[in-house]
Amino acid sequence: MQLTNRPPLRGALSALTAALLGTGAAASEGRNRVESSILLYSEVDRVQAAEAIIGLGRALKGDRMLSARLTLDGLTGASPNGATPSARVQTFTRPSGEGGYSVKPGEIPLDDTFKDTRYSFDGSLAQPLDRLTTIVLGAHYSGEHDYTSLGASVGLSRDLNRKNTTLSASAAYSRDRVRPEGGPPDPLSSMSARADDDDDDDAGERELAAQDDDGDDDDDEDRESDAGEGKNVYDVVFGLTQVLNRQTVLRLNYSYNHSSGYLNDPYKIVSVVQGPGGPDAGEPVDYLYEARPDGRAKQAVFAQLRRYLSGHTIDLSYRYFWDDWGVTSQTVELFYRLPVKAGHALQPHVRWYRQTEADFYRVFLVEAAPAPAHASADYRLAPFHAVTAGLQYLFPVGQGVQVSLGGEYYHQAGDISPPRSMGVLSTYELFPDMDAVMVRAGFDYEF
Amino acid sequence: MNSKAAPECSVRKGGSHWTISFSAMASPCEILIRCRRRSEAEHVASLAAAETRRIERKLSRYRDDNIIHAINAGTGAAVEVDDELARLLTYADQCYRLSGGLFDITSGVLRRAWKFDGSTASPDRDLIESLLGRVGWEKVEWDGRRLRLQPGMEIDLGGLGKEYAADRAADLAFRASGAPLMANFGGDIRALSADPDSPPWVVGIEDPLREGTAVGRIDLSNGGVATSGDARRFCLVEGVRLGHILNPRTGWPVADAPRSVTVLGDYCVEAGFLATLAMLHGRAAEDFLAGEKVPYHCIR
Amino acid sequence: MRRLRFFVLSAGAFALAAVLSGCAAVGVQVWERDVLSKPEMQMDSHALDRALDDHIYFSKEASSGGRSFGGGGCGCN
Repeated sequence: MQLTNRPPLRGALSALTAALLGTGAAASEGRNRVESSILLYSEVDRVQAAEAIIGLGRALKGDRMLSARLTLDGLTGASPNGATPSARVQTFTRPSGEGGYSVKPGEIPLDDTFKDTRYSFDGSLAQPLDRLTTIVLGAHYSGEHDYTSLGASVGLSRDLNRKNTTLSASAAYSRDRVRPEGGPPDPLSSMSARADDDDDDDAGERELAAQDDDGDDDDDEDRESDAGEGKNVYDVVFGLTQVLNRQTVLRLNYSYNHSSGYLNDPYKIVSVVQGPGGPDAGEPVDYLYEARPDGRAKQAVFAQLRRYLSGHTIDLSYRYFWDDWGVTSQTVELFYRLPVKAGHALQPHVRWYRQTEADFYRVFLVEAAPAPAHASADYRLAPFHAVTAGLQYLFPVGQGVQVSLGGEYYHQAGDISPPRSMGVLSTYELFPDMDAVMVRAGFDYEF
Repeated sequence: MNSKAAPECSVRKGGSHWTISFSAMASPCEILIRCRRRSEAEHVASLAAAETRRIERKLSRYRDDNIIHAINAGTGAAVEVDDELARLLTYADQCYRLSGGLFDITSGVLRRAWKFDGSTASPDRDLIESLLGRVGWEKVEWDGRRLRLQPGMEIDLGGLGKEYAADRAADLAFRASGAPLMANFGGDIRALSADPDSPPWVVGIEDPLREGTAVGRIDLSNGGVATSGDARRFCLVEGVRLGHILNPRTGWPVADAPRSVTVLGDYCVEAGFLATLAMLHGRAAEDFLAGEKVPYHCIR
Repeated sequence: MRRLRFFVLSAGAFALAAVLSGCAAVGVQVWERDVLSKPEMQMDSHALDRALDDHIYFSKEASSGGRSFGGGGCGCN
């Protein structure tokens, strides 16, 4: 019998069939997606926050994907204002300039007027340019009573090596505006001096308003003090995603972020304390508004590995961060997904974090010492480490809905060494250690 | 769980596995799955039945409310298709080329010249000639998104439909449960397993002349099985038995095709394509399959 | 920390070079994507959760970036 002289089809056929079946996605008949998540965050004795996000996604003709996300969050409570504890009662002026608040002896001062609601909107459109390349355009807007941000982004990704490798590059720009209550304070100016000035200013303005009839000049002056301070932020991220084998994917990212403009936290102060040698060494004599540089360049490298192992999924990631303010940090995060029954899974999660301090971080300034160019006592620029531990339960409901419920515990502990304290301060905690509990619930519906 | 799929779907325990049964595509459809709980099997049942019926509704040429009807009723206008149908048509296009034109989804109209009920036929040659004018994938305009048939042409995805449904249902079921399973849609089979310790499913190859008796056996953990045969659908022309698979170039069934061809591949769709192509090689069916280096079983 | 930074960058660059050069040899065939297509293996799964995490950590820590953009768009840092 004559053997066929046509080359075997099998190889090509396998590949074609795999392509026919292998996309894995459910048949697309107008793919839509709604997802939502709510997070309740509560620090012991400090800030409470609630955050809700709702996201919508829709596949459009031509394989385009449109998505929109709306975020609402509200926070309230007390946050450290940067001052150090004292053996005596301390009084601080409220950011708005009206009235003040007191702090008991020995306690880390917390500004309890912290209250804000923020809304933000993110939209993006992903458009395939060809079978292997996609471009994504994004827009962002967010607003809170003293801060607004408007930005845009563009990203490009390309698949190589039978889609085993994906290279991506994206860039974003945003323009932010800070309008602190009472206007932005002069950096390194005294808090008490400002309280007096504010009173004078207010009286002065009221006089002017009474005298001026046509109101045009008033509007101009108001607009000037309301204009606030600006900030420009540029961002680029380069990424590589690589399939290592049937069960493992690796992702590597490099990101660079540069911001310039007003980078101070207008509500944070630095205590000026008495020098060593006297009975009141370490006691505050004045409070200065912080001063940070007007530019910051941040960089980070990130690696993430996700592996599937007999039904379990492990996700391990590492990030190394550094910036030109002297801060460096390392973050390790692990997620472990264990299926418990059909569609249900338990996912424990841990995160370790450690950061070093900014060059201009000062626990306090010493009276009569030469004033530095920049100083901040914001605990977020201090050296500390933090741990998060959490557990999430994931399960399906009905057809196409995935629900997740979870709780987490977050703990921050300072790494400020004792020799840095002075006099009476050596008896106090200088870093506001923090414990927070988070509860979250979310759902994801594809239809 | 979806109440839409539940009524015509049954889940029974049998030995170390659950048996899910429902009927679709004019066949009894079964999925055997080694998951632990009934609730898992029921969840899989509703997913698989819903998917199979969705595919049937979408690809059936007997309906007047789907895209196939719109394409076939068209008078030469181009029709834009969705992602899934685009993939199927691209596959059909590539199979047409791979098979040298023997696999052709526009050849369905030729069935109008034949009746395969076992009776003696005297085919109308003029009818076949005129029908041939309406056959030929090369006459179709397909750009990966839009399809334009010449007036009078029709596409028929019946040759792919059941195997595709078996592959898709098995895939969905496997991703939902992770348990070893085998979908058997009237002889079009796909098995999936990620557990090397799970024993293979035993598939019997039926003797075409003696229903219910097996002449061969396949041990299947992963892969697809499809059978093409003319044991029940044939006609007699001048005393010669001819099967129901028509050669799209001649309009006639193939002479000397095996009674039954069973092929084992990685996917059911792939196995089905090779089985059909083997039948079209008639006398050279076994040689063709040997050249493709696939496990097969031919019965003459 | 400078030495660590140098080490991390070099290790990263080396890994990147190794990955890119070996890319064509590493990976799976189209029909071996069964596990990779599972929802829990999608790198962008739980995007909302990660966005919430990023926002919390951005307002409580000095670092940002990694998974995606380097942060911003709110008055918290």
